[in-house]
Amino acid sequence: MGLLSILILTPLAGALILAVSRGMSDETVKRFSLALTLVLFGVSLALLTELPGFESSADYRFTEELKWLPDWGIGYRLGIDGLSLWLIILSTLLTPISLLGSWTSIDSRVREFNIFILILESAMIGVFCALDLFLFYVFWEAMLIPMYFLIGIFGHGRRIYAAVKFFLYTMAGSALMLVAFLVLYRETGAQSFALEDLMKTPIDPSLQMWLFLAFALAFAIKVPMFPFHTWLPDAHVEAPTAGSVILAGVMLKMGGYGFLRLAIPLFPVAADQAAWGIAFLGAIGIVYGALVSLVQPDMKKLVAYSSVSHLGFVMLGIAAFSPMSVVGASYQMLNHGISTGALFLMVGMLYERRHTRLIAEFGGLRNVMPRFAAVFLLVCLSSIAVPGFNGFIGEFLILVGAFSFSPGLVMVSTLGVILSAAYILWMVQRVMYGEVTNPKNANLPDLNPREWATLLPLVFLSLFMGVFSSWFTPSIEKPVLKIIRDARVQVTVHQMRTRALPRVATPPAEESR
Amino acid sequence: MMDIDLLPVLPSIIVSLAGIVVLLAGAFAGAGLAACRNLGSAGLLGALLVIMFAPSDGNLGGAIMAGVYSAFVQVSILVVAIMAVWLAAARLDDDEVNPHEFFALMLFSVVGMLGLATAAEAISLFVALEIMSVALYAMCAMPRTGPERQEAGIKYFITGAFSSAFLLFGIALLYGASGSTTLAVMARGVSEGSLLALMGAAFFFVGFLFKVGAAPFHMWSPDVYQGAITSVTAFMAAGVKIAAFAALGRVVAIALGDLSGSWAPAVALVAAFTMVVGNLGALAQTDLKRLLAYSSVAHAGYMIAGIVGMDNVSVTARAQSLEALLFYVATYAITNLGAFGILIAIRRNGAEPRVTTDLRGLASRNPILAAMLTLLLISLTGIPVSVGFVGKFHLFKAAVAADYSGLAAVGVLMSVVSAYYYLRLVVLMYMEDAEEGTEFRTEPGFVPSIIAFAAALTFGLGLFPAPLLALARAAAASLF
Repeated sequence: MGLLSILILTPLAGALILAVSRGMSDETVKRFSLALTLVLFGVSLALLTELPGFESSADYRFTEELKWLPDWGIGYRLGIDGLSLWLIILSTLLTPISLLGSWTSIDSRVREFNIFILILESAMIGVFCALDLFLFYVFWEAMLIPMYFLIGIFGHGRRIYAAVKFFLYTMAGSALMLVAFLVLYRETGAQSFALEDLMKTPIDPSLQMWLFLAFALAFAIKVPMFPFHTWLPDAHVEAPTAGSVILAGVMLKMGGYGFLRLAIPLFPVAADQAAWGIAFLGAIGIVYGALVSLVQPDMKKLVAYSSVSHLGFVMLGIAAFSPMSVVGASYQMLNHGISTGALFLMVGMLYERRHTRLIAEFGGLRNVMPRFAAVFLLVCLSSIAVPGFNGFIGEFLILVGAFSFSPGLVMVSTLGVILSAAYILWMVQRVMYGEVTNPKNANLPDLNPREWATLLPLVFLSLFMGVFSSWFTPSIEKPVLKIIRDARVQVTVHQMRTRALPRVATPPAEESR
Repeated sequence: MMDIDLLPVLPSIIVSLAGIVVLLAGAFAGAGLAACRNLGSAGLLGALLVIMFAPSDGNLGGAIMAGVYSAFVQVSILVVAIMAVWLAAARLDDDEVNPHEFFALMLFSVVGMLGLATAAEAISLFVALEIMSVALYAMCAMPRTGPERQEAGIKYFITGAFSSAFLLFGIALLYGASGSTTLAVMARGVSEGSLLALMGAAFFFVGFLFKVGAAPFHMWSPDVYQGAITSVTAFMAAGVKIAAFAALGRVVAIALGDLSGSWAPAVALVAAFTMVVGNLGALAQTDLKRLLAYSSVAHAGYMIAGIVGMDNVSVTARAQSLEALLFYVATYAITNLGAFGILIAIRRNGAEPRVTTDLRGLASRNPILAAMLTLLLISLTGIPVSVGFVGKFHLFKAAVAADYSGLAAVGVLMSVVSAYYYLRLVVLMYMEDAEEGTEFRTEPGFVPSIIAFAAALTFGLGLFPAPLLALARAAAASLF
């Protein structure tokens, strides 16, 4: 069994153990899953032993292939490149952190909670490893169910509404993608669902657009791209902290990842034609998300809408499709996972202390919990992409890389950078600074060791990735360059063909004159 | 004496004899519920063993065609029937139904279903259909004391008789066009697509679409499903689907395949309409059995997509579509039976759960049953990893291959709609609490293990469908 299979199956096995061992106390269940996910994080670091390989070529590594439904050309095909490598490590990192983060806030149905988180982790890793469309779809959909339960059982107020909305939205998006898979399968005649085989046959450009749109809908909802984002604030606000961290930290990344791994390589001509539209929606998302964040009275909702804005950058970078912007977008996906994950954790900590997330309820917390305030400021600076933090690298690469694609959109998007400073810092100011006006806030305890343990790795990473970005980017660059090169070749071929036709057709017309 | 090989009909003979024995034992020896149940399931098991260990490919003078196809279908029917017998046995006393009458009728109905699986000739097909249906009409009206049972029985009888008339008329027209009632001969007679043949095919389809509850011929099914006792509904929902679709699949494969260009677009419309009506109808239901009835209408729509997928120039592709249909119908039957089983297994404050909110808070009282029902519902929705997903994937793959991508798109979008009402049950079980003083009791004995079998199969075949797919493939290929 390969390393990737171990990563996918271990959490599943853990979930199974939890499901059958009824005697375990809640404390044991928590310790068991935390230990398991920590070990899994360690195992996932073993993927880095191949880092030189990831930096030198875009080939898939750690590949595995088992026959599953050979008659339909469906296999258990796994493999990762530099693009998926870091996203997998992000998933294995955020899972134990979110478990630790909800150590005390989840006090009933603990076993179920841990089972769902473990199943979720396994499906998330699976999505990033799958090199077979069927397998990809299985993991993609399998993610929905545990997340649905996490929101629906452990969420707040309107949890059921949010859970059902999340589920239906995401499933509706991916439903048409499934039909597109089948049409693709028919058109290529490859008798295989392996990504590699399907990419060999270029699809007729007129059909490409339909298929691309079906894929793009699934991924745009996941990202979420304006105007498909409406499920996100609901899901985030009602989800428990662990759910929000994983949702924002990992699951939203699958939209961007899906574009880069599937939609663009499979349908480059259509992607090229749709690029401007996607970039446009991305830019709208940046500004819209930021503006809506500005007026949120609820911190969690503010962070949720800021995700819409941040992910708009990712979409802009992908659509601009220059090496720099796409690397920036991929990097930004990691950054967003870390900084937004940390923000959700900290909002969750405040909620645990005060059972409210309304900004107006707080004020002057710096006087009461100085350490919390300091860390919060660092996390916020990372989120608004201050130089020296990780977010800066990502947004800078995206904006510079996208400039030649559309200076106008970049200028609009830069507005988002400014706005993000405005809404985040304004929130920091209202929550942390000033005098303690609300007596309920007078005696809040500062960060405890458990909370330090959840936050430190994320704060460290946001600084580390801001300074030592060259440690990460070479491995991301390779697959990105390959995707861009392959797509450009097909687009050029298509353009030459469509341009060549009139030239052939004109001479006879001239003769007749 | 004529030399007739009775082996191909031996399973039917065994089941009929078992039915007669049950009836007589109940009437004269006063055999109780347990005895009738054991006798009945012994008969079904005997038939199952004959099919598995003494397979036959006889044709009884052309009236039937036993073989891999009929074996696959008959095994599915018998497995479903055995499960249904044990489910029903848990409840018949509460329902005040005479066990020997009930089980005898059930066995007779199974005889009809087995006949539908083998019928290779229009008259034997019709007779088998009637044997199945007449027994079911009577079962729906059991027990005689309940007015809603009477209503269900009468409704089912009238619409059933009506649809039989359509079917018979269709057969007559096809006979007129081809000069034969044998499917293989019929195929040659109708292949040119004369008006007579087309009308015959149309009436034939209408008759069958009535039976499987396709829209717009589905009106009877919610009322009948709700009115009949749950043991009957469960058996009917599962068994009739398998038998009717198996027979329809055979007729289309053998006799009407060459005409497919003429009827398939219309049938595709019916399929799409059925999916829409079933799923949207289910959204509005509060009664559990009506909900499952509409869901079963929706699933009939998916299955008809498998018929539509046979409109393909490639013979291999036609066989694949039939394979998808067989796989789907067999697995759906078991999944659905499991879902009905939950209604039989649970007693809420001493009564069967009737409306959806009766399931509220089940997960905290009986986590295992709730988890199993969730698994079954996930499969009915068609979410991986479950057999329902594999089945739908296969059906829609065939539809797309036959260039009915639009139908596949309607199918997947309607699956999303179905997620709403199936998930609502999950919401009620897991995310809401039961009212104070609600008491859930689980039926002791075999019922939970039958549900567990269905759930395990649903999950196991979702993960490793290849063995069953291979069987379905062999079965479907044997007709081409």
